[in-house]
Amino acid sequence: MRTTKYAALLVGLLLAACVTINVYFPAAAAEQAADKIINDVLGTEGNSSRSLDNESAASGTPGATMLLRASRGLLELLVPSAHAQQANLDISSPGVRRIQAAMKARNPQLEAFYDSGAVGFTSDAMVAVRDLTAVALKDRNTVRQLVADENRDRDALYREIAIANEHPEWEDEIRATFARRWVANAKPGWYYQNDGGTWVRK
Amino acid sequence: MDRYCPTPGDVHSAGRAAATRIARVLLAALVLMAPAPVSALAAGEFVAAELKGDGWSASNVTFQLALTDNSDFSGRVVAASLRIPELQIELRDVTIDCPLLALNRAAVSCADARISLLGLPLDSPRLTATFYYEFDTGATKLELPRVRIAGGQASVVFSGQQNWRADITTTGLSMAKLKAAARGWFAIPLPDGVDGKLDSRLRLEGGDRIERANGRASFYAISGSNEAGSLASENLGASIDFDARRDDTDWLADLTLSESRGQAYFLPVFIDFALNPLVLSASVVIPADGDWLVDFKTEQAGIGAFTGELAIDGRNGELRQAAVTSGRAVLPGAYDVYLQPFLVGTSADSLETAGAIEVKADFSGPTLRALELGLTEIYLDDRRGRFALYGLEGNVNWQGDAIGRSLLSWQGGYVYKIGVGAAKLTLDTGRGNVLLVEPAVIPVLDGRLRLSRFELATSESDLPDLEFEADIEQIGLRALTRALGWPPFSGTLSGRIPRMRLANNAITVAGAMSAEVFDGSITIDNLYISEPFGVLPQATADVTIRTVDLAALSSTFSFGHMEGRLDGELKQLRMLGFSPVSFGAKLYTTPNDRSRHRISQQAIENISDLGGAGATAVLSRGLLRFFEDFAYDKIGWSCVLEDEICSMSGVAPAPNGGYYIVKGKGLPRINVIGYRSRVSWPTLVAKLRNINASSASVRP
Repeated sequence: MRTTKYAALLVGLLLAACVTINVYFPAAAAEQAADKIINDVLGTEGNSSRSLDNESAASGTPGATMLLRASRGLLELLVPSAHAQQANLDISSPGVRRIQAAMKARNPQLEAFYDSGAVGFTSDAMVAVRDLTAVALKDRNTVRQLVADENRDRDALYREIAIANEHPEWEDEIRATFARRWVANAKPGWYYQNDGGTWVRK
Repeated sequence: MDRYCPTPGDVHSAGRAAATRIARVLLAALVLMAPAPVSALAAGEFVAAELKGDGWSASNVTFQLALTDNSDFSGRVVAASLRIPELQIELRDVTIDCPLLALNRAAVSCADARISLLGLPLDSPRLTATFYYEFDTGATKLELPRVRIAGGQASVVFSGQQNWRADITTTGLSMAKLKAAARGWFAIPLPDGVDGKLDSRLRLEGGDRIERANGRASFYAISGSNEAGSLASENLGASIDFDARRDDTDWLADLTLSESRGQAYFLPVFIDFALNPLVLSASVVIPADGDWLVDFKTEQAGIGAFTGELAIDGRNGELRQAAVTSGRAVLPGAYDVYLQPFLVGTSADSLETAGAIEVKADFSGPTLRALELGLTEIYLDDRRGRFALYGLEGNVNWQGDAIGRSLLSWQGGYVYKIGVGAAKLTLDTGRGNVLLVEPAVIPVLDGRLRLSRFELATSESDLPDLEFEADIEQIGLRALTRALGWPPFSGTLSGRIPRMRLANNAITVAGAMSAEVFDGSITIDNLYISEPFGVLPQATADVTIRTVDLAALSSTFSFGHMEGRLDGELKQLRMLGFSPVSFGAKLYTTPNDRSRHRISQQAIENISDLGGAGATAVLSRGLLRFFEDFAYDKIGWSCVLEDEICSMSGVAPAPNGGYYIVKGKGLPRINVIGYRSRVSWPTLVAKLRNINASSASVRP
C-alpha cells in the first residue's frame, strides 16, 4: 500500500515535472538574460539590484524547499537535457547581438533624455516621450526619432530572443520580464510607467 | 460673458460699431457739457437719472460747469454707469474731469481731461485725454495718449467731422495679457503658456461706417509652450502688414506676413525661421455675403514657394476649396522640415534627399482631390543603407478616383547592396491603386529584372500592399554573391519570380521561385521575408537544387575542376539580413546520375581543407601528385547549422567513425573522409572565401 502511494507520488511528480519543462517559460533565466543585455546597453554593469521576488518565492517552508530540491535532483537525473533547456535562455544569437549593439550605440544619446525625464520606460518594455517640454525645441524631433528607433530595436529584440530560443510564443513573457528589468536597472531619477500607466520617478 | 469668436461676417458691424459708437458717446458727453448758450452761463449743474442716445445709455449722470479764475471754465461729468450694448461695454463710475474747458461760440475743447472709469480691461482705470469740438461744423478731435493696457501702452488719436480717422498705436503689449483682456470681445489664437510682445499701428478711416483699415503689427519675443509641449516657440518674431478697403459691399484686403526670427514647434514640425524665413502674402475678397476668396503666395527660403487660392465659408470659417496652382518644393529642406517628422518610425524616416518637386494640388474642403507632381533630379538615399534611388525624374498624376497616368524614370539606385540601373515605368493611378501599364525592364547588377506586373494598393488604415511578378534574366552570380557578402561564385542566374507580395511588413511568394543555374535548377519554396526594411530583416525558405552540372559550376567557381551532377536541399533556411543562421543542408551526387564523375586534385585538396584538420585524403600526397583527376562514385556533404556551428556529415559513414565526403571509384581510388562533426560556421565561410579569393587571383 505504502509503496503504491510512493510510486503514485513519483509518477505524479514526474508527469508534473515533464509538463513544466515543456510549457513553462524559464522566468529566472530570462531575468538574468534580460539583466545581462540591459546592463550592457545602459552601461550599468554590476549596478543591478536583484529583484526580491526571484529566489525568495522558492524559499517557503523548509519542507517545500526540500521537496523542490528533491524533485529537481530527480529531474536532473532523469531528464538532464530537458532541464538544461529550461534553465537557460540563449541570448547569444547573431540577431540578438546585432540589436544589442545597436541599442548600446544609441544609449548615450537617449541617456540625457532619461536623465531629464523627457523619456521614460513604459510598462510594456518600450520607451516613450514623457515630457516634450523638457526638450529644447530643436531637439524634439531628434527625441521622437530616437524613441522610434529604440522601440523598433526593442520590438525586434524581444521577438528575436523568442525565435532564437525556438519559442516564438515566449515573446510576451520575455517582454514582460524585460519591462520589469528595465525599471529595476534604471538609474535613480529616471521615469518609468507603473502597471496603471502612471509615470513614476525612480 | 460669453466668449466671442469673430467670424468673417462680423467684421463689418463690429468694426463700424467700434469706431462710430465710441465717437458718438464722446461727442454726446462734450455737447452736454455745454448745454446752454455760452455767454449766459456762469456755473451750473445738470443731473439726469437716465440718459439715452443712439446705441448707448447712461444712468445717474451729473454735469457740472464752473467758472475758473481766469474766465475759463472747468467741467465735470460723472455717470454711475454707461452702457454700449452693441459692443458689450458696460462702464461704471465714469468721471470725466476737465480742469480747463475752453468754451466759446464756435467750439469747446479740453487740453488735459482726466478720465477714470471701471469696466474696461485696462491696467489703470485712469486716462488722460485731449478733445476739441466745433459746434457748427461738427469737427472733432480726440486724443487718448497713454492708455495702459496689457502690460504695455496704447494711444488713440481720433479726428474728423463727416469723415473721420483714428490712429491707434500700441507698444510693448503682452500677447497673453491682451488675450485675457480681449476675452469676451474676441478670441486671440494664442496657446496658454505662450507669451510675446506686440507693437502695432492701426489706422481706421470712415464716415458713417469704416471704409479702410491698414497698419502693421509686429510680434516679437514669442516664447513658451502649451502644457503638452505640442505647440511651442522660442523667441519667435513675425510682422503683418495689412491694408483692408471697402469696395461697395465687399472688403478687399492685402496682407503680408513675414517671419524671420525664432523657432516654432507645431507637433511634429519644427521650424527655425532664422534658417528658413517665411513670407506669406495674400489678397482676400470678403463679400458681405458668401465665401471669402483668398489668393495666396508663400515663399520659404530653402523649402519652396507655393501660389494658390482658397475659398472659405463666410459663415463658419470652414475651408471649402483650395488649390495650389503652382508650387515648388526644394529638397532636402521640404523633406527635412515638413515631411520627415511625419515619417518617423517608417522606412522613409532617414533619407538624404536632393532635387526639386513641382506641385499642383486641388482640395475639396480639407480632402485632396488631385495632385500633380513634377520630379526633377531627385535623389533619395537611405542613411541606413537599405535603399537608394538616384536621378528620379518624371511626373506623378493622381486624379483621385479617375485614372491618371504617371511616368517615372531613374538613373540608378540600390536595394541593400544590389545595384539597380536606369529604368522607366509607366503607371496608372486611381482609387488608391498604382498599376504598371506596360512591362518594364530594370537592370539589376549585370542582368535584368523584367517586371511584368506591379500593383500597389494603398488604404488609409493599412500599410501599402504591393504585388509584383518578374523574370530574372542573366544576373551574374559573381556580382550577386559579392553584393550579398557571400563567398564569390560565378555563373548566371535566370528564372521567374511568381506573384510576390509585400504586405503587413513582410514579403511572401505565392508558389515557388525557380531559377536556372549551371544547366540545373534552383527552386525556392516558402520564401518569407519579414520586415524587409526593418531592424532585423529575416528570411526563411526551403531551397532545392537539382542536376546542377558540376563541370559548369566548377569552371566558374574557382574551387577546382569537377564533373558530374549535383542535387541538394537547404531545408528550413533562416537568414538574418543576408547571412544564414540556421538550416539543414545536403549536397549530393544526383541519384542514378550516369554522367562522368571526375574530381581534380585541387578540388580534393580544397574539400579536405574545408573539412578542417579532421578531413584527410586517404592516399598519400606523394602518389597523388601523378594524377590530374580521379573518378568518384559519390560526393556528399551535409551540414546542420545552428548557433554558428555546422554539424557536418558526408555521403556515407566511413570506418573509424568518419564519413565519406568523396567516395572514390576505380583505380587509383581516392576517398575523402571527414572526421570532424562540428565546425565553426564563420570559419568555414571564411575558408571558402579564401579559397575563391586565392584561386581567383591565380586564374585568369
